[in-house]
Amino acid sequence: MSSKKIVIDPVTRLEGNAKITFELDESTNVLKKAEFQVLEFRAFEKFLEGRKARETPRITPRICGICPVSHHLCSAKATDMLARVIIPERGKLHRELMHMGQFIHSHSLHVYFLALPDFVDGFRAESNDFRLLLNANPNLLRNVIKIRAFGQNLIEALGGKAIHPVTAIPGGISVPLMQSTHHSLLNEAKKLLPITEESLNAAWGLLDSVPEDLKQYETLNSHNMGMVGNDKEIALYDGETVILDSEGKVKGNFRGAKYRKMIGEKYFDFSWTKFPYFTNAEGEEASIIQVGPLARQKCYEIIPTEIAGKMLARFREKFGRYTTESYATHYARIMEIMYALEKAIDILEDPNLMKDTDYRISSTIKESSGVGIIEAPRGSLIHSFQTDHNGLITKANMIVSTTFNNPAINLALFKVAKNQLDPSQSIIPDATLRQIESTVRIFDPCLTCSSHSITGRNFDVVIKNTEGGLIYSSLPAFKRK
Amino acid sequence: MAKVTVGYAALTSCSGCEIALLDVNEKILDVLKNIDLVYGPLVMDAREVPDDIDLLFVEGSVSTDHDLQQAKEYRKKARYLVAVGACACFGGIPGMRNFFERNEILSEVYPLKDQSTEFLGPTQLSLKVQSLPMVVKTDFLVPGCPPLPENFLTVIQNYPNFDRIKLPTKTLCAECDLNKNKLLSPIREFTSLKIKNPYHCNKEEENLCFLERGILCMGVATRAGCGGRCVKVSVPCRGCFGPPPQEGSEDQGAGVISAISSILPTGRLLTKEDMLGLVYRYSLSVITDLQKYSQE
Repeated sequence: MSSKKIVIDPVTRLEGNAKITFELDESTNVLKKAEFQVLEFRAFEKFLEGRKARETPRITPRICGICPVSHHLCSAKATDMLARVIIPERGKLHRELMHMGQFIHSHSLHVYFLALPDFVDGFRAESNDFRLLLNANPNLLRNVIKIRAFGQNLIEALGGKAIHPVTAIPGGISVPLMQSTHHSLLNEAKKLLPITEESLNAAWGLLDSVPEDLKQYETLNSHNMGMVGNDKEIALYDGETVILDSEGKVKGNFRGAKYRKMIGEKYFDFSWTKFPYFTNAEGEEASIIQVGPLARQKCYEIIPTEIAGKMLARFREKFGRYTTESYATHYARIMEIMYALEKAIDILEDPNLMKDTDYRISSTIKESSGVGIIEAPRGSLIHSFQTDHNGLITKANMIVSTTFNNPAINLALFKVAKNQLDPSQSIIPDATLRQIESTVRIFDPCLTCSSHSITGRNFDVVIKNTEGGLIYSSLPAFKRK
Repeated sequence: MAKVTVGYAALTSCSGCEIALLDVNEKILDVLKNIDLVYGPLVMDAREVPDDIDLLFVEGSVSTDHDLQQAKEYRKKARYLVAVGACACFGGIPGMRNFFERNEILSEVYPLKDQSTEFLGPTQLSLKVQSLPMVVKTDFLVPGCPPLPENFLTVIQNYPNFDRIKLPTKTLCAECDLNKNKLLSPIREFTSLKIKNPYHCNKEEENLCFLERGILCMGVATRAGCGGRCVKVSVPCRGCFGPPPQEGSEDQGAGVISAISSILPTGRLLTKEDMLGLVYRYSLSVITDLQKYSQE
């Protein structure tokens, strides 16, 4: 049976290089395969072997230039555990504040530059990039540039560099925030508060106004994972990670190395690719763990800040508590921008941030093992290292947000293509292809992140029906020698 | 006069340099008045680099056959090709893959399969990670991991006379404000008999040169230009601006070793520290140049 291929290459407005390939049966035009292929490969886990573990916070940020803070802090948390130290409260506040800058920058980049332009003219414009938004609402874009710039300034003030920060070290943070910088950051943040609320509401309204047929993203009945604090509130830097089923029942929770009991990485006998899955689930679709803003929203009960808290109430009124609608992800991301800014102000106003107390303690890494878990903008992120008596890494394992989401992306892609591609047409309209791309964008996949790993070379997904029959697979091609 | 057409392309990379470009913030709107931005997949929808583009920025290292093919295509299409960031200029951190053989990595990728199969995935991994100038002619290098946002504007403003751009050529020590006493004078003794963990606190010494304290810092063989952004926040330099541009100093690791061996007990480092991963963190690709070094 011969087949023909439709290729979208490169998929634009994503972080990293990827293409989408659809394979259709030549005679019937029925969709056989949908592949979301990542074209990069860097082998971080391999070349971390032999490096000093204390250097990892300075190496792993290069996995991703968009969310380097998350990798920086995640590795720092892993090295704290390797050195068996508990960092001073003041150091933790500094790290958390830096992380808020990350959420402000990364999320606003995604919402306004990558995702929203799709909806300004409903996939009809020749190009849907940010200039469309600039023409439609120049003031909004100018404000967003300010908001994102503040996120980056916050990271730079705390991390030394806005991209690939350096100050989180095993045992705390290398320097505290300067008094003068502290004042200007707090002033700036307070000034931005009304502008941010206004811009986010504008985005919210724009999302609301999108015609129903363009909102038809696929629903996935997978598990969801996210971090929560002691009072089940939203937690992005530190907390307990919980796994919920699609109805919201708690199916697992863990901290540190216990993740290995909950999260498996398996090989399908017909695929070479590692595949993170929830060990306690039955069926392919259910064993997928989705992470990110929408999954987090299902895990936490409350957002403890004022404006974002109200947004959450509006969100739950609109979508309910455990929505499976992917479109809601955009709204969840918007709430997190608001939360990050409000939380940043809270931390900046916390007297412990500038109080003259310890912000670091001495640390030495010997033979040990350590795990760092953090919520990156795109979802849960895990770094795990083992070291020898000189503190050199013997084994590194990293599971990043986009890898968790990858099976879901592939599945959503297949579902949307099945519905949108019209078998009777030989040429697929651009608007349809763009809508398909937009399905991928909803997950905000960071391909630079996902392709860090030895096993991230390409992403394959295999979907079986309930009887165990193969309905979809994206196998790499192999040639027998 | 027609506007200069400008594009931004990425090989295997982290997208950090492109974010650095966006970090010019509202100035991007002014820049857009003077240039015609025609390619940049992170924020734009154009799927192909147009033929005869005037200026093309390229970030990322050459890690796959797909990258190599892209790099050649970019060279053919662009009037001026500018490598941005440590990966494009020197191979960058992903260049540390060159510590290992390709087969060693691939066999770990597919440990469960029998080794007689050959992978024909979306892209073929190249033997070694290479920098952009190792595979095509480049017209200008903007170093740094990531570069400073203003560097992009400087390149655009000086188009096409890149020789007018004066980036610093000394080492980072020239830009570093920490107190240097013994480092600058000829001495017979080591400045520190101990190699110290940078994360042991000693507040009294905080304003002293890292090397004099006995903490490994790559600034001595790293090109200036970053403004000392890491040393300012009390962490030692790791060399992201690459070696200084003078001929003969391409080997950044050799530069570091030769500079520190007169002031620190370097022998001891070889057993306790990961020297290779320190001194060649950003520029291992440069010294694993296949043509240059394979016969030696």
